[in-house]
Amino acid sequence: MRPNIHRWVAVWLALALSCILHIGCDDGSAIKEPSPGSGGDAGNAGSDAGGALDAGTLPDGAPKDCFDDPKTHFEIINACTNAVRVPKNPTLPTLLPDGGLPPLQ
Amino acid sequence: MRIRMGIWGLFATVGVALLVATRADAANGDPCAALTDEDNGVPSIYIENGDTQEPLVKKLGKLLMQSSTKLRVFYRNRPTCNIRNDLFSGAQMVTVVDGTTARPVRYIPADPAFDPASAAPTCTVPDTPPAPPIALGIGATYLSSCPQTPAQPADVGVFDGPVQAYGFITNKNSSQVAITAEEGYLAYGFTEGGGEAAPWVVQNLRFKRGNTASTTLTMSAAIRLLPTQMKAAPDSGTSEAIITSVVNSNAPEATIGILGTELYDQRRADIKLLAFKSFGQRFAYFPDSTSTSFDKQNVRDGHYLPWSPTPYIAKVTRGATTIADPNARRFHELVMGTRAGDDVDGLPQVVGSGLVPTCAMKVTRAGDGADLALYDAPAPCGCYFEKNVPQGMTACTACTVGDDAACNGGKCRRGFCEAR
Repeated sequence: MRPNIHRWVAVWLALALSCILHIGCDDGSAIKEPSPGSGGDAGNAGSDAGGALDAGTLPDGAPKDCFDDPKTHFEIINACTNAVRVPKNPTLPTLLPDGGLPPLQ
Repeated sequence: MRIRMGIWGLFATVGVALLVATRADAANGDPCAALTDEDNGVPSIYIENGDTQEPLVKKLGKLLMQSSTKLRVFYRNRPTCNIRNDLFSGAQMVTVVDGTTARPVRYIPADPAFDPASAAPTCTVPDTPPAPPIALGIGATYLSSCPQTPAQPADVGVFDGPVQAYGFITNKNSSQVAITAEEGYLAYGFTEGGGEAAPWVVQNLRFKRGNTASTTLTMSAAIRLLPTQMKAAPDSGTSEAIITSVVNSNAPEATIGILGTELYDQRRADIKLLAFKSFGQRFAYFPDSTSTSFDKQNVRDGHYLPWSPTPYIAKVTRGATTIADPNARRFHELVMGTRAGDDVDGLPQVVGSGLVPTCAMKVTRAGDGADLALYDAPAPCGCYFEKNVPQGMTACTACTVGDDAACNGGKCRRGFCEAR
């Protein structure tokens, strides 16, 4: 019986630690300025239309959405920051199926 | 008796006011070479600058006019590619009209009460040469974005200046907060019914500058368009005209324009700047760390992409890499914060004008729309910049040991310990 209790305590401690680490590492500035009533954003603020962003993972295994030590252009523009980050992922019907820009008319 | 004195006093007051007004009118519009009520013996420099650079020219120009080594600045706002053309062809300061937009020459008066936030008085230049040489051109984007004719002469140099950011603006009553590069492309790249980038679907409510203006060049590059591909209302001749159109729009949601952020910083009460999400970016960002700060943090570290350096164009001494004209060289060195032994400090004017000194940048790029790369300024001034913008603050350690002295493993620069 006692080993079981220890196991449960260990699991809960691990979960609690994981949550604390997640909060500590998550960029709290994200989604500080939602776009009220902004056309394409409605109901879509949390999605990532910016393409794949392999910035590693958080301690709890969740994917990280920014780079701590940017080197390339892509990493620089998606570097971790304390600045306000504004989600903006509109649905644009005239984009190409792969998300590319349509040719000009 | 008391009433009579009051009436005579009123007459006297009106008379003095009329006299002052008459003198002011006389000064406004004089030949630049013969200014009424001004000392025409003061050394002078004629500058052509992008209109986004006018606040800096006026601020620094006032200090130069009050300096112990006086220098009077005459200047004219012009699109960047026109400035390039003039400086590369050795043009003189003659009367110019770009399309229907007159380009008046203005000057900094000697009056110490002159307010750089107000309009500088105008003066006239000859319609044809001979006229004073244009000693310094101050563009506001990469000259590589301009048509490459005429070619750069061997005796004309292009020197780095502070960084200028641009942005999409909208009416204060618009609910929009951000715009993606894809939305910008679809809005400005298509006529009505084509791009469907709601809510910016009305062509006559999309405003832009002319195709040779730095604002248009940098903003079009940020959304992968050429200036000539932007479908908008008829070109606005000046940035102020764009502000007026955006402010006066009766359809705020569909209204959009482009503007230098230092002009936006002066007009935040009237217009709104949209956060910008570039191609490949996960979030949109303001030029500053928040919508209400002035720290240009996202310009400096690469999260906000529509920016460019301001090229300083001037004749160089043959075989040398320095500006030949001493007054143009002084102006440039003051702006870069590299001039020693002058009683004018240029860097605070740069910061106070909403521009970012190169020494405060952490990223660089080769041209409009080009990828960013990390940048290590040889003599960084990021701490000084952060502290001296409006609402400025910095986490850097203050130092009083003097410039270049060791400080926290780095060097003391302008009162703060920098990394090197």
